[in-house]
Amino acid sequence: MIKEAKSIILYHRSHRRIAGSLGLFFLQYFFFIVPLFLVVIFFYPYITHVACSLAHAVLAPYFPDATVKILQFPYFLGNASYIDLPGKDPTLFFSLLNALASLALLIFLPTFKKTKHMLIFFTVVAFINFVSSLFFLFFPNRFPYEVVEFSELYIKQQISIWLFIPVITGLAVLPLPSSLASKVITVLVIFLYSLVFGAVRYVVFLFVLGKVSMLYMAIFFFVLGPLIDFVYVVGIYGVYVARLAENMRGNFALWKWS
Amino acid sequence: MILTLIIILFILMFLIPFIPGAYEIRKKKDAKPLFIDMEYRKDPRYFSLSFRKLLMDSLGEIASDEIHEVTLSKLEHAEILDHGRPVTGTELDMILYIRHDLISESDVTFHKEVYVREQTTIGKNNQLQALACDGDVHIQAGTTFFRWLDAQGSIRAERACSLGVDATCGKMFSLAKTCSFTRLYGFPVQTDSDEAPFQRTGIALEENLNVFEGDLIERISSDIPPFTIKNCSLIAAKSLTIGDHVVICGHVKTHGDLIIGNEAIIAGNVFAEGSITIGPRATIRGTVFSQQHTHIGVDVLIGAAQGIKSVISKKGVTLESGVTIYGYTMTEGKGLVL
Amino acid sequence: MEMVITLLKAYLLFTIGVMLVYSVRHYIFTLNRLFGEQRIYYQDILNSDLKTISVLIPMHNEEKVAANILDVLLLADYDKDKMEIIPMNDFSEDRTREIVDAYAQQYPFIKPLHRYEGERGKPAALNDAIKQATGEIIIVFDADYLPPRGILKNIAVSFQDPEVGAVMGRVIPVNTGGNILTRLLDLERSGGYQVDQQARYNLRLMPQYGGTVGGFRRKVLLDLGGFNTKILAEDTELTYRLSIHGWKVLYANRAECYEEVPEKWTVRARQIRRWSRGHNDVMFRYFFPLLTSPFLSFREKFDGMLLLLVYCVPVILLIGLIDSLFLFFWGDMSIFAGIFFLIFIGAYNTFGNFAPFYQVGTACLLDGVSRRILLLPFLIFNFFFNMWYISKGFFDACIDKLINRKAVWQKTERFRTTSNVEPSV
Repeated sequence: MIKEAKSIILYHRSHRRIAGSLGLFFLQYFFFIVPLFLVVIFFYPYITHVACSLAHAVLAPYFPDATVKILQFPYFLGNASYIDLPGKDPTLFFSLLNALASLALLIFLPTFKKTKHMLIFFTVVAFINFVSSLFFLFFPNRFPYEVVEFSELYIKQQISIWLFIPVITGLAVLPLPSSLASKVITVLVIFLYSLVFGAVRYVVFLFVLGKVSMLYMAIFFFVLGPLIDFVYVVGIYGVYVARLAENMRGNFALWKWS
Repeated sequence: MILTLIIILFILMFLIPFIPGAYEIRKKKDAKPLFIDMEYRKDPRYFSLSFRKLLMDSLGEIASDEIHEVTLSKLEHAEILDHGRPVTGTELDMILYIRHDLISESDVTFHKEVYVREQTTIGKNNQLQALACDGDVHIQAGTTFFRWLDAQGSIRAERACSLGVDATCGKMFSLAKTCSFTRLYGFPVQTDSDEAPFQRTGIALEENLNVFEGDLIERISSDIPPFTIKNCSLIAAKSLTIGDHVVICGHVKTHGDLIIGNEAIIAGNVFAEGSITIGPRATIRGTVFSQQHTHIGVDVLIGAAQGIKSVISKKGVTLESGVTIYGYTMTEGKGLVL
Repeated sequence: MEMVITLLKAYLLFTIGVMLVYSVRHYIFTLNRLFGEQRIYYQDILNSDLKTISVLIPMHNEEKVAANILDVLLLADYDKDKMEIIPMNDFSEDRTREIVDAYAQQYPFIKPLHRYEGERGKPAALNDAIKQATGEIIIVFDADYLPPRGILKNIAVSFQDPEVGAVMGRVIPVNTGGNILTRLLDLERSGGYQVDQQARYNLRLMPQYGGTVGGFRRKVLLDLGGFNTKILAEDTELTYRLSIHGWKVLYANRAECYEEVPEKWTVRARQIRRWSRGHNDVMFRYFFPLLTSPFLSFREKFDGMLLLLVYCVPVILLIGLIDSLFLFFWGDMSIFAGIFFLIFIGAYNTFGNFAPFYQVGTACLLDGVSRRILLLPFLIFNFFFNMWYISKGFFDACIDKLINRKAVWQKTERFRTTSNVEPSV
């Protein structure tokens, strides 16, 4: 027998694909992602309670006694916890200031030529803030939400994020040709990141709404909400795939051609 | 204090995912364009030509029979010989450069590439990594090539030879039954015939059959009855059967399987999304291309002496006896002579 | 008012539905490219009967790059008796004319076309050149491209198939390392070609002819009336015109060519606005003809429709965001609660106007590159940038349609000053 039977001839990247199977992918998905999904479904009351306890512990010293409360609302398979605290309505002056500042940004940001892609993002932020400022300027008593409503909605949103992040990251990560352990670890890292980030963001948002202004509620929903959750999803996914790509170099057993 | 830490943590957790990317933007470790080989051209004899060039550049002017260091894809040793006469059971561990001819006995193993400047006869049940020969090559039964085989002259492969990933020659390439291959290139590539060669007559001999395309395309949904003549190209949305003795002065394309009847003549190319079965004694002047499997029947002729055509089939090619292909045969599956 | 609120909520659900459809589509493409059987292209065909080709190179003030592309085409592996090169000097005011004439004097198969009168723009120039051309197959390269030696055969060989009307190759940015924009565009291109186009080819859907690094049958185009000079996206228009008339458009992943991507965001903004305007113009014209074409299967029609609408999606999303902003201040937030809002964002699969993140990641893996994948999070900024300028392009197209306004062709600014390319290993 030939010692180095180099019968594999490496074809061009345009022909290559992964030596894997859809069946295995579905199997892994069923055995790892579905349970994670179910963990959130069954344990969200506990998770939300921990998040709220953290928020309560951090925020209570900054608000009048007993105004920071942990409440519960019924949801799917059990009560979810959320925080209630007094919100700070913006003064007319504050709303005007924000409106003028946002307007100035809306006018001047497009004139910058450099880093245009980031400026569009900040223009969107400025626009939302401008709309919110105008609302508080002209209809200060008609703002439809208190912190308690925001809080409930945020928790509902977070539960959805915690449910769907494993679903989406599983879809992205599990088809790739690495060990099951590394795939599962990646999904878990992203999931844990989302738990911590969600709780931390909750505290920050509540503090701003309670101590700075309710004017920023719209920005929290539309810019700093689920959209930025995907920053870390994509970031951690990128790190995983970059490492996988390095490891795949020279490992021809992982490749198939056509 | 704790609140401050929480706020900092929030900002950090938002920014952390950008850090690896920001580092890469700064360091530019993977910022070059994807490599495109600007010199790449499709050449069926690429492996052997590349090997010959690398070896000769490495060897330079050779005076004596010695062992030399040569650099191919890595540093190797090459033995220079006037003639190669390995006896039964020999195992050769070095690249061989043979100034004249090579005649090997049975069960010889060549672990490295061999370059022969004149004629080559490979004995039964030999195993070779690769062979380049400037003359003709005769391969006895049961021999296996793992990589490639190339001859400037002709190649004759006896029964049950396995011809590696690439088997090419500048003249006739004849194969006996049960030979297996992936790519073949020869003028022509021919399988042994069980009977006397089939004599083509009449329109089948016309070298310049018209090929109607462009405006003259007919979209068909039913099979073509025997003895039909079509002066157009045909496109079928599903599988298609072309009857016996049909003449098509054009190309054929189907989105399903294609069956070409006995002694049918197709002046142009044949493309199928499914499998292609070419009946005995059919004549295809153009290229045959299948996304599935191609079976070529007895005494089929593909191409013509003056040109190069191809048989390309993704999943496999089977050749019966008496098949003649002027040019190139390639499959990503397995090729077999029945 | 309740009716208005209901409509707004319904619109939001519609947006979510659209995002879901596209994300499923992109995901199917990704899985197909990763695992599925790759449909072989025709590059392995060896055929001594080459078709005659005319290589067209539109040039408007291309003195920086004109010589480069002509130099590399001179080295092309194609029988010079069967090819001609037609540099199309289109109202140039720099030294483009002198440069191409100098080449024409030396090489008889280089036959420049100089245009200083008549309709301006690439489609009009192409029409004039096609009338002059003698080749059976027209192959087009933009002036800043660097075609490898074997690419002409790679493209031309596909026309051995009688059903093929056009072929598109893969474009690879050559100025990847320029700045963050070029790096992000490189990622988008990888996802779009290595995964998206190839999957559409595998699944026998409708790969898109991109107007450069591609070819089409000369006679077919002439019979179909030539390029429509009123449309900015003449390449997309050709894709659909050919498809609805029964011709197939192929994608050749192996036919790779270097291109130059914009290095300034202002240039990029103009580019995608123009693409959006042109593409949506094609959408208005071909939406119903596509659905009623007797030559296309249901799958082709469905995916063709999704492709036609792809430059509407950011507009749908932008209106959806405004819609949700209104609902927010109206106090009707229940629609946001939970699952649907997440799907609304997540279903667009993260910043993916042109290629979702997992498509880009898959493409980079298949290409064998690694660290550039780390730039994926920066695509969040592209999300808003693309949404904004694509939406502007969409409204341009709407106004064009309403008042029958003719679009004025704009050339993308060039940045390369040298033909030296240092590729990655």
